[in-house]
Amino acid sequence: MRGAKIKIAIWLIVFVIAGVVLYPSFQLYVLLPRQERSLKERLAQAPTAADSQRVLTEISEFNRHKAALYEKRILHLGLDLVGGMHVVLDVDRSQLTEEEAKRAPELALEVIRNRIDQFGVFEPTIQKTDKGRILVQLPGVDRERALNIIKQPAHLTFQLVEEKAKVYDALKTIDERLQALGVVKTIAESATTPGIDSAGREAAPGSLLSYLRGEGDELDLMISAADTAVFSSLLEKGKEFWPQGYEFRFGPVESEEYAKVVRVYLLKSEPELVGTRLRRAEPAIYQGTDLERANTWVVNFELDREGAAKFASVTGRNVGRRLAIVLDGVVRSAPRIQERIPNGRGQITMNDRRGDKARDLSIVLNSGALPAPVQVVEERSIGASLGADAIRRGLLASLVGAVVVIVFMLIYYGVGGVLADIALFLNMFLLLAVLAALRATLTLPGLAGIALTIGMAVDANVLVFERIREELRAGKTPMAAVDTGYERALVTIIDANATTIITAIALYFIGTGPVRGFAITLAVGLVINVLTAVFLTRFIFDWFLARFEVKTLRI
Amino acid sequence: MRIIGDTNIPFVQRRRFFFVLSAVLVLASVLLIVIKGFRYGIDFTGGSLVQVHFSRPVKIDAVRQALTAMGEGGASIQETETGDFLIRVKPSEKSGDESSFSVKLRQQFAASFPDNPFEILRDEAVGPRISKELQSKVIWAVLLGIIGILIYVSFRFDFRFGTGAVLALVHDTLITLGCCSLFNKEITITLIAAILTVIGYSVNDSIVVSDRIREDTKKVRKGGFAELCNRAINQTLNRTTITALTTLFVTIALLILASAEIRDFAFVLTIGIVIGTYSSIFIVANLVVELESRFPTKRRR
Repeated sequence: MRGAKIKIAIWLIVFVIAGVVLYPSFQLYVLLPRQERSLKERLAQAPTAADSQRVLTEISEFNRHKAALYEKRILHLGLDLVGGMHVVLDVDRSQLTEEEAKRAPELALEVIRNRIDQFGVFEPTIQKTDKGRILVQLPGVDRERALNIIKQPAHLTFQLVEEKAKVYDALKTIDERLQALGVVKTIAESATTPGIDSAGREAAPGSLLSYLRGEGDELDLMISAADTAVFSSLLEKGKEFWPQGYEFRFGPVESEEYAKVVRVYLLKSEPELVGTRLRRAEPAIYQGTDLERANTWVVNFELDREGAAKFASVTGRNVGRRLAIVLDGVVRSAPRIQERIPNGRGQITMNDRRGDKARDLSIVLNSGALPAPVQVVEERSIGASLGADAIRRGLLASLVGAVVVIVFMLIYYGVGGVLADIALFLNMFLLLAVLAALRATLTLPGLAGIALTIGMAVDANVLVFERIREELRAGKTPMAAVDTGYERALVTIIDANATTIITAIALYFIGTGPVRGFAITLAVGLVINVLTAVFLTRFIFDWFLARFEVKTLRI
Repeated sequence: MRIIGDTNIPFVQRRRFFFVLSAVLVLASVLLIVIKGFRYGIDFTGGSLVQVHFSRPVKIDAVRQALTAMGEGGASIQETETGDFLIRVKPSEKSGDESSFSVKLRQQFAASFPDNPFEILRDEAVGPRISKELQSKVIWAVLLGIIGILIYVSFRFDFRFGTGAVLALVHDTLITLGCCSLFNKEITITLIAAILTVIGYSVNDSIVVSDRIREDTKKVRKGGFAELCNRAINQTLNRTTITALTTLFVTIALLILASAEIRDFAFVLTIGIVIGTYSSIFIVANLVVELESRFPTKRRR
């Protein structure tokens, strides 16, 4: 047969390329996960912070390797298979001027991209969609942490703190004023907390003072975390009686021995310094002498030159006073200034033993503030275990379907069935390779799409074989029958598949995520299908007839 | 081996019967859709959907209590066969942050079931604006698909076949949708994908028959148009059945073995393939014959 060698060579090259294309995916999904599991186990068992830091270094090494692999043409698994989150964010532009509002989505995108890059997610998708929204897709991440990182506005200020006695007096004044107006009285009727303040003195039931916790330490007043909402709404009611030029702020929720508490601060409203002057922030293990903080993580920061100069003068002028580090309105820490700090360095202490929070905060600080708060308008998060189960069952179902089809074709068409089955195998192999080369994402519906193409893949062969049968019955020789059969069926095959591809294109148009994966898989599957059915099986058929000099063909 | 030998079944002669049957099915579907309607998923209604798995079994009443405690007593709770809970709430009145429901739910569950750790398997929230946009996108996509097919078929064949194929796809889609309504399937984006696939399959099937009619028109001179169509259906009968069978093998495997979401997808495909196969055997060519007998065209070729 003329040209047979060339044809064989071409197909061989095609399959070698497909194999090469698929190898990194194999590495990524089969070899690497084992390594990753053992690293994670070691991290979970690490006894001390120093140990966990060592494992973390190893993990980041491993991650670099994995990231390098991702850069290659890889068959991506969709969020519905590996777990992870898909969020669409809208920038809240209501507080911005028209000029700012225009640039806000662009800026927010930049900030979020920076944060996620540092967060270290593989293959994140971060892009602007229509109407100035931002689409973020993060495979295999912890939802809470990721949302925290994405949504944190990161507005950092340094504000002077008033002493405990003064805060107490201010609260007392507000209480008295509110009482005079009759506000506290109405609240008192529904109050459940007994009217006793931190020092055991009697306070009007339902008043601000009555919420103060007796366990408050020497520095700050505290309230129970559960009371925060009531307390702050009460404070809000008495806002006009706040000391001039000051504002009340809370600290984060802290775990005292018996309960969760929140510190109450009175800060100078005018910040001494804002966080735009921040040059760098990084997580570190606490090195100081405070035993409570031993083995916890902190965030060290460094201000730029201008910031450092300002910081030096502020600290120089206020030695002995406390300076609060306020992030998004929450007082992260309020250390006392011991001396003038010339180098612009400071530390945010955290109640964090694992290092996650310190690392996340550093990321957020390093990437700067969002131009405006962002809101989630659409979210889809899939837990990893659900994805794993879906994969397992989807694969099993596809496999069973494929086996039934293969066996059926063998029984029904005999020799032809063998051909069709070979074509089917090669089809699947090529389909996966093309999907990998396109950097397409394999999703759950995509998996179903593959299964569906298995069913429909044999259609082209069925059309051909039925045609050959007809021609044989009409008395043609096998050679001629195969020839005519392929020729006649070709037009039909193309017409039939073209229409399905049209619907796949329509599907791609509506699709976000999973449906898009399905559309691509279906379209690519059909194209490959036509190619293998028309060229590959025909070639094998011709070769078979010529090689064995078949006189009578039974198909 | 052959399932169906050479046949000469009088499909075309009996066309009245199949027209009536189809008309009844389509009518019943339309009535179902109008009266009973669909159960729309959060893709189209907006709202939140959370799937929770508890380490130890929890009674549905306890979950309801926890939800009532957080002020979401109106949430719909559904227990899956694996003992997980699917919790759905409507979108909040004011368009705000859609992730807030799940945040509150986590806190509430942690408080209500302190010694029973839970895992959130799925967490979806769609804002009201997004769901509206999605609705119009789906309508556009379906229109785009149908128009694309109509153009292709009219271009490759003539308008009679185009009309036949499109009527058949409308027929198949309506009946499939009717089944979705009857079996109370939740309409999600994935389900829409399945329906579009059914449309593709339906036309694919119709085209094979139309193709054969066109081919035979060129060479067979004896007999009338109706007889010619009947022969074409009989000639392609084997292929139509076998392709339907192989595709059904796969969709039924998915229907039985795959996870819940794929199962709904496979359900629609299975129904669609059965209906699509029926229509390509009994309806498409018959429609063309009917059109031809009412509006005879001059045979060009």
